[in-house]
Formats: sequence, C-alpha cells, structure tokens
Amino acid sequence: MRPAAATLSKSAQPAAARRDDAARVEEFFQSLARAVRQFHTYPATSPRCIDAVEESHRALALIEVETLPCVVSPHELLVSGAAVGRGTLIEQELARRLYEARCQALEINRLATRRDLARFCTELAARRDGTTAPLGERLQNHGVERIQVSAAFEPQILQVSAPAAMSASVEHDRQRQDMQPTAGRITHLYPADKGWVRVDPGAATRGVTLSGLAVLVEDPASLAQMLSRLVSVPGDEPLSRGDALEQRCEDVARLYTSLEPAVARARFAKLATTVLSLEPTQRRRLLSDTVLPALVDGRPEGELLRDFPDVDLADALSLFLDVETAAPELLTTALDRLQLSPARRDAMGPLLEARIRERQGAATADNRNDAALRERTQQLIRVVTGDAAFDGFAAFDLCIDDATESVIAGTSEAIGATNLADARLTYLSQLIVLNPNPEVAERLLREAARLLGELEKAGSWTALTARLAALQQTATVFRESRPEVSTAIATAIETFYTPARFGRLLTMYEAGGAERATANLLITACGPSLTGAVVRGLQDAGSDKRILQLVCDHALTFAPALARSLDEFAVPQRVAAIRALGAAGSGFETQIAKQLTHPSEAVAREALRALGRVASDEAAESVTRYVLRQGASAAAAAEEVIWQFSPAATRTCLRSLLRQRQFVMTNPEFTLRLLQRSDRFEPTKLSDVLTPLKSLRYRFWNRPLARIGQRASELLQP
Amino acid sequence: MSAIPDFDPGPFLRGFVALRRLTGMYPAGHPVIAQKVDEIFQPVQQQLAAHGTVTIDIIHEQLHVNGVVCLSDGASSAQAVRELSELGAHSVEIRAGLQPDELRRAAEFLSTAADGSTDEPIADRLAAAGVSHVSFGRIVALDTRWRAPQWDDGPSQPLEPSYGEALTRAEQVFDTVASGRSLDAVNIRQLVQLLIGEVARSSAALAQILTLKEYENLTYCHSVNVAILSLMLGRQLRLDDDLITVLVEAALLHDIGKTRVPLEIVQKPGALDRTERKLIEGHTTFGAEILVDTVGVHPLAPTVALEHHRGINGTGYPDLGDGVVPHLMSQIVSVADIYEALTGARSYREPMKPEQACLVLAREAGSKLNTAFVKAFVSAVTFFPVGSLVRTNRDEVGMVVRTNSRDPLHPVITITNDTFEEVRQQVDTSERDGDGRYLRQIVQSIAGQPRSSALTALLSTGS
Repeated sequence: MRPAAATLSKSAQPAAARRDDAARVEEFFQSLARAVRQFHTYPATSPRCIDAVEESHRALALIEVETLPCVVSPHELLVSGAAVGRGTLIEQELARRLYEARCQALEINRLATRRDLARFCTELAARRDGTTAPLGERLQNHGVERIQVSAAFEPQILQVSAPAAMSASVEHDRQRQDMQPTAGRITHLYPADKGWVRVDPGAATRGVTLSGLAVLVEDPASLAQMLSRLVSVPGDEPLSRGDALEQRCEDVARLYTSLEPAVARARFAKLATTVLSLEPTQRRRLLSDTVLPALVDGRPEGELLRDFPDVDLADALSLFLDVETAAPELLTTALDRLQLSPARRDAMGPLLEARIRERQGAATADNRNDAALRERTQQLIRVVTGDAAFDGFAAFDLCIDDATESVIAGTSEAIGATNLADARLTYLSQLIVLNPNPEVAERLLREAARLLGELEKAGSWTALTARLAALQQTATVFRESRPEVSTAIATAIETFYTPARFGRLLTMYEAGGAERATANLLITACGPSLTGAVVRGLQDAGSDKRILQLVCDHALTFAPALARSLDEFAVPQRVAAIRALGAAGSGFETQIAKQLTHPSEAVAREALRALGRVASDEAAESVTRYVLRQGASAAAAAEEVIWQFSPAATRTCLRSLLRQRQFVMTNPEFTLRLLQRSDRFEPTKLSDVLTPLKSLRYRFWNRPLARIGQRASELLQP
Repeated sequence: MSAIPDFDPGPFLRGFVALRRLTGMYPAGHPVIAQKVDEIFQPVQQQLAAHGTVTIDIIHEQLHVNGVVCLSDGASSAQAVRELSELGAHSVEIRAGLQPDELRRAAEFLSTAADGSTDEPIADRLAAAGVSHVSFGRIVALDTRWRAPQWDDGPSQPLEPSYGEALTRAEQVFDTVASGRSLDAVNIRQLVQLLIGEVARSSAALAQILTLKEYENLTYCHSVNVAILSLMLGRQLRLDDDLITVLVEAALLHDIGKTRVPLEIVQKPGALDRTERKLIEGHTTFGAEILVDTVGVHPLAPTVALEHHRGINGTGYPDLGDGVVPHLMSQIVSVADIYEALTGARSYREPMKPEQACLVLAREAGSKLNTAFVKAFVSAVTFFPVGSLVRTNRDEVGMVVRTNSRDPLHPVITITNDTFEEVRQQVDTSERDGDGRYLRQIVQSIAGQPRSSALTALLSTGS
C-alpha cells in the first residue's frame, strides 16, 4: 500500500505536475467510459471488455493521488472543481449513467483492482429498473470497496391532504413543543433533509414537525408508511400498511405521546383500531413482538391495548402464555400495567379464564366445572395494589428446577467438548458467505485448508464432511453470482486433496464397511471439486482398481470433468475414464462415441461397452453408425452391446443396420446372428426392413445369404 | 403513483407560467391562450393516459415528477420555478380526466390567488372555479428534530480502581483497532487477567456494572461490562477457570467490529435506513474478520463476535442459515450483552433498572435466549441479600434471613411488623401451593436496616 502521506494536496503539487495529473485523470475517465460502453455492448468476459478494463486499470495506476474523488453532474464530472468530459464519451457513458443512477459523488481509490473496475462497469452498464438496489449498495454487495459511490439527495414528499385550517393545529403543536422543558440534546429522529410535506398553499405553517405530522395524519398506518419512506433508500419497495406499522409502531406511539393528552388518547384509540384491522398473523406478530413487551416494559406502544375491546384484549393478553418462563401472574402484571377501571377489570376475568381453559386443551376438557381451576383463574386476574418494584417477577417462573439444573451441569462439559478446528472452519465458511469478496475468501480459505487438514489428521470425519459440504455448497451457490469466489473454493478443496490425502481416501474406500461409507460421504461432500484429485489419481494410477471403482461409483459427480479431459489421458486412464462415463448414464454419448475410433483397441472396446451401459437411444445410434462405418471388424465387438439396449433402441439399431443392403451383403454372418436373436424384439415391427431380405433365400450359391432370407421369412410369419 | 422516467416537466411549467401571464392579458377565448393551452395540454395528457396522475414538485429549486428527481437541467425552467415558488405553489398535481379549459382556469386562478385572503382551502376554491383535476400544494420541510436524553460517554462517578484501569485499557484496545492497527493478543490477555483477577473480585466494581448506568458507551465500557457479566454467568454455570478465561476474552471482544462502524451510526438515536442498518448489523461480521486475523486470540472469540446477536430460535443477525444454533459461549454472552445494553443509557431511552432488565431477559427466554442461562443469570444478580427488608404480596413485611440458591427471587424471610421490632414467623417464600403457584411473592424491597435487636440477632445466628 502507498502510505497515506503520498496523497498530495492540490496546493502542494507544482503547477506542471497538477496539469499532467489532470490530463491523466481525464485519460483515466475516458478509458473507464470506453470500458462502460464495451460492457454495455459485449458480455463481461469478452476480450473487448477485458482489454478495456486492462487499459483503464493502467490509466488509473498512472494517477498520482491516492484517491480520486469526483462530483457527478448531468453532463460532466467535477474533479477538484474542474469539469471533465462534457460532450465526450465521459458524458455519455459515465456522467449521464451515474446521474441517472442517482449518484452524487464517486471516489475511486488508486489501488482499485481490475475486478473492481470490471464490476463497476458491469453494474453501471446494467439496465436499472425501479427495484434495482442503488449502485453503491450493489458494488458493496460485490465486495468492491475501492470504488465508493454516494447516493444523490432523494426527497420523500409526504401528501397530507390537510386543509389550511389544520395548519393552526400544527402551529399550536409547534408552540406547545417549544414551551416544553429543554432537557437533553436535539437530534434527528429521522434523516434531516429527506422529508417534505405537501400542504395546502393557503396553510400558514412554516414547516411541519414530526409530532405535527402525527396531528395531520390521522391514520396510524399511513403515518407509519410515511415514516418508513423517510428511511427508505432508492430501490426499496413501498411497504404495505401492515408492514409499515409493524416496523414503525414504536415510533408512531412515541410521536403520539408527544401530542396533547386529548389528541394522544384519540390517536392511540385509532392505533388500536388499526392494529385490530391487520391480518391475523401480522396482528399476532405485532402484538407478540412489539406491543406486549412494551406493555410490560412500560413503553408507550403498550398503551394501545387499553383501547382494545375486552374480547380482543383478552386474546392479546393470552399471547403472553406463549412465553416459556411465563408464570400465570404474567396476565395479572399486564392488567396492572393497563390500569383498567375496576368494572372493566372484572369483565376481563371470564374472558381470560376461557382463554386459559382453551390453552389447557383436551386434558382439562373434562374438568370444566372444576372449582379449583375456577379459583385459580380468578386468582390470575386479582388486583395487586401498591407500587411494587418487584411485582413483575411474579409474572415469570425463574426458579432453577431440575431441567435447568441439568442444563447448567452439562454446560461446562459441552463447551469443553467443542471441536475448535471445526468451530473455526464453521465461521470461516460463514464469513465467506457473508462477505463473498475473492480476496477475503482466498485469505480465509488458506486458513480453512489448514484446519481441514487438522480434522483429517484427527479423523474427525463427520466434522470434515460437514465442513467440506458447506464449502462445496457455497461454491455452488456462488457459481453464477460470484464466479471468482466459487472458483477459489473449488480450488481450495482440490488443493486440499493432495495425492497423499487422496491415497488415504482410496484406502478408506477400499476398506469397505463403515470406512467406505465415510469415504463416500467425503466424496459426495467435495462434489466436483474432487475431480482434480481424481484426474490426478487416474493419471498416476489409472489401472488401480480402487480408483476405477471409486470413479464409477461416483460417476455422475466426476463425469463432466472427465469428459472434458478425456483426450488428455493416456490409454489406461482413458479406459478408466470411459468406464466412468458409461456408469454416469445418459449425457456423455458424444464424447464416448468419439473414442470408438481411437487407435487403441482397448479404448474402442471400452467405449462400446460404455455406450452399451448408457443404453440410450443416442448410444444406440452411435453404435449403429460405428458398425456401419467399420463393418465386420467392429461388428463382432458391437454385437453384444446391441442386445444391451432397450427393446426400442435395439429395434432402431437393427432397422438401421438391416436397411443397408450393402452392409448385409458384406457382413452376412453378423447379420444372420442379429436375425437369429431378433425374435425377442417384436420382428413384425421390423417388417419394413425384413421384407426386402426375404428374396435372399433364393441365393443358394451363397449359403449365409440364403439363410438370412430364410430367417427373414420366418420372422415375418405371424 | 408511478415514476415517469422520460417526462421533462420543464416545458410544461414554462408553458403554464406563460399561460398564467396570458390569462391576465387576454380574454378567455383568445387564440393566443387557446394555442398555449393546447401546447401544454397534449404532452401532459399523454402522461396522464399512461400514469393516471402527474405531480410536479419543486424542492431546493429541483424538479421532481411523481416523487422522482427530474433529470433535466432545470436551468431553462428556473424562472418558471421561481415564479411558482413565490406564489406558494411548489407542487402541481394533475389527474386523469383533465380538460384543456381546466388548465386555463387553473392558470387564471393562480394569477388571482395571490391576493386571496380567505381561509378556505385552495382545493375548494379551485373546485369553485371549475377546476377539479388540477391542484396546487405548498412544500414545506419536515422538521425531524427530536429531543433525546443527553448522556455522558463514560462513567462520571469515581470508579473502583481496577475497574477504572480495565476501562482505560479497553479504550486503548478499541482505539488501536479503530485506527487500523491489529489487536495485540498480549494486551488482551493482560486485560482479561485484570478482569478475572481483580475487577470480578471487587464487590464495588460488580455493583457499578450491575446497576443502571447513566452513560452511553456502546464500545469499550460496554465490552468490559459484558465481559464481567459473562464471567458472573459463567461462574454460575460452573465453567472451569480455563473456560472462564476464554469466555471473558470472547465477551471482551464481542463488539470489536463496532470499531469499523462510524460512531454516529452506532449512537444514532433515530431510525436507521437499510444501508445504515446493514452497516450496524455488519459489526458482527467485521468483528469476526478482525479476530480471525488476530494471532493469539482464542478460536471461539470470532464465533462469539459473529453469533452474539443470533437467537437460539434462529432469529437475529447475521443470517447464518437455517438451523444454525449459536454456540453455548455465544448464548452466554448474548444474555450478558442484552442485560448490559438494557441497563445502560441510550440516546433514545433511559437506562433500565436491573430488575426491569431481568424481566426483559425472562421474556426472551426460550425464544431468543437460553432459558437456563437466563435463570442462572437472574440467580447471580442478588436482588434480596440476607438482611434486606422486603414486602410480600400479602402485605407482610419481613427480613431476608436466608437465600434459596435454586430460587433466589424467593428467599426465606422472617415476618416482622411495620416498625421492624417484632419477630413473628419464618416463612420460605419459595413454597408453592398444589397448583405450583407461589404462596408468596416479594413485591418490594424496603430501604433501611433492621432496627430491632431480635432481628439483628437472627442475622448473627444465621437462622
């Protein structure tokens, strides 16, 4: 890193140097603009884009200053107050795009990597719609830290539809607030310059305070929506009324408490009605997570319960019974906090009793008239008088019972038993997921590889399998969105399996029983990332039966990579790889079929067997083509393979071969053998190719051909 | 109301302001007016057909269409913008169904509205003038200021010396990391030893940590306090000395990631937007990353830094995937962290009393927090020490003569009279009835000392 002192202030630089650097800055922005254009036109992996980023990276390296800040305007970029790029590519590709992406300023660190620049170009060139996250956030999400983008001012205009007369209330509220005691410090509850209120032009108000807004907006959910908008960022979807209320209930209640008592009462009543009108799941969530805890803690939003009708209040309070440590007195405590009138409190008794009964379920269904239960439920709602500091504790049962004692007794041992290498690997994997930055990932993966080695050495197979699987899963998840991270993980796993480790894995595999099961789990956990080790293993010991067995058992995992590397293998390895491809099933017929023409007979024979194992229509076609092309020399080897195909595929194969008169004439023995075994494949369905063969039965001078004709006739007889 | 990406409101506003001038100069049916109306009606009509409503707002002399900043220069519309602003019409809303003549009437209304002194809402006056699809608004700033409590950023009262020294050292550790340098594991170990060897053994220090704290410090003071509270809970959970050392170290460093979050966001009293929230929630990840890179820190420290805001039910942050239960060490620190946060002052609320904070822990037990750990923690906080005077829910006054180790909120008390002179019966408040309900609850602690010799004698005999 360049030391911070290397950042030269403008005044400290000689004039000539400043001019040179200004030219270099412009050159850099030109190259960056060209890169953005290429990214807009071509895929990011195209040579044009790569070259453009390279050029841009070179230009950036030539700039003297440590960081390059610039302000975005619609037609140009302002660098140290000087306009750059009007009427050039910079305007078209950078200034306009950045302006449209609502960026106010851009700061590029001289150490920005090619990846940073490429990601910036990709994101800037991408089409933006209403749901796209802000550019700065997108860059951050991609781990680009050396290019900082600050968002432009984006006001939220709140429509209050308030008549001019309402302004008097707002002004009155403002004056009342001004007269409040002035303890504490002034701070902004919401961003200072983001909220604007559209009022009637006749309104004399100078501005609207937050509590003034609570006066103007009667509906609490609308108020919550407005407050949500004040903390939204571009790209955020507007929240529904319920969601907004769920998120902002605390603030809405806080604003209401700042109003005049009579207005506040009315607003809380409205808030209660709004909460009751929410969809049941949402209402329950809001009550459980926000309102009920607030009631117990004495926060204002708990007060809205006072305005619930009795039945709804009883329903709401009964949610307290879900709290694990709740004692029955929790309901009493809650009722105390609500300070209901004695008459209303009495009315709550039977309602709560009914709900407690309901929760006691079928077990107590037979005891509905049980006097003890009635007495107990009556006690639940007894009035506790006095300002008691510890009355709240009665609401929870915090006694250390046997179950708790058992947990406590086992804690030390449980913590002591932590597998530290596994714990470290766990958070290393989690950190890679949380911050998928290739540089960070590579650093973390180096440590992860060491720890995986520790687990392997200690024989912690379960932990090793879990950690490898987690890494492999991360690699899979990031394959599209973070290819660099995905590759880094795959490489780390591949590197982890050194020949020695892979040898140990093979030994486990060979041992059978539990050890083979463990080896299988490890192989599955590593997935395709183990292919490198497998390929190396094949190259080193292709004829080793263990590795052949392993590769075939996990053929599906390794087949894609083996198919790619097939041509690089020597004969023994190639044979093994082809066998694995055959075991993998359909999908690799083309690659296998190419091997049919390999000069090595072993390879060609294995390819034929592999196609027979695949037994797909495509495999059948490949074999047919091969036999037709090679004739008698291939026919013998292919014969057994043909019968391995499905009946339909075999029929297709037979039809293709028998239709070729020339083939039949030159390979009569082979053809005859085919016909002799054809009766299993519904020969009537082959009548179109068998009928022309019937005439061969008169070729007495060529016995095999005559027998072909004869056999064809037999097959065609009903 | 949908955003209109390609609509430039400049020409409309310029035309509208010009129309307003023309309506003062020519009669309603004059061709000049008709031409101007037609000129501005057509483009806006197209937008209305597509979007239903077009709202043009002027904020800081910048035009916004349907709430979205307009990309045009604005320089050419500056005069029109100024004129409308001076008239108090920072906002023009046009709705579908607009008739050309309404534009003329609206412009005419605007030229006469300035001298209107009636309190009648503008919307009503416009309606009376035959304009029902155009309305004007004034844009005023929303004042989001709020009065928040002002707290010191550290303890102001005299501190127990070892506690004071621990805070000073912790501050240095946090400053070191905040300035971009790496953590020194040796310093950390020394600080951990100071906390275990001296601070935790000092009743005075423990009292200063357990009580409500009238200062707002979310970094080093909070971390030291959480470390001591975790230690207290760890002892209650009977962890051995080695594990206690690991626990204290992990708790001390659990919030080290906050050094990478701007302090104004950490202490922000108001609502956080998505970006700010992401940043503040990122302190867990930052912390783990810092600790991963620190040689000599115990391997569980990053785990705790990463997981201490995760609930046992999978709630909280960061998102570590389904079914990931925080490590037991993280669960211990979570209990201490929440208690410390509640008993500490915040810019948006007063500090809670210890008993209130314990109630919050109790409420979260089983969902976010480990129930056994919460119970153990509450047991460790001695609310009713031997000799303290209490009142029960039966309105009895008594003196605590013995605590129940398994039920510390229900001690054995000797009932006395209101003047604390008589010794009546001794009762165990942990006794329950047949339904499992406590027969007595302590509802109040009473300030003062037992004055009768009989009560004092009880204390000395320990019965």
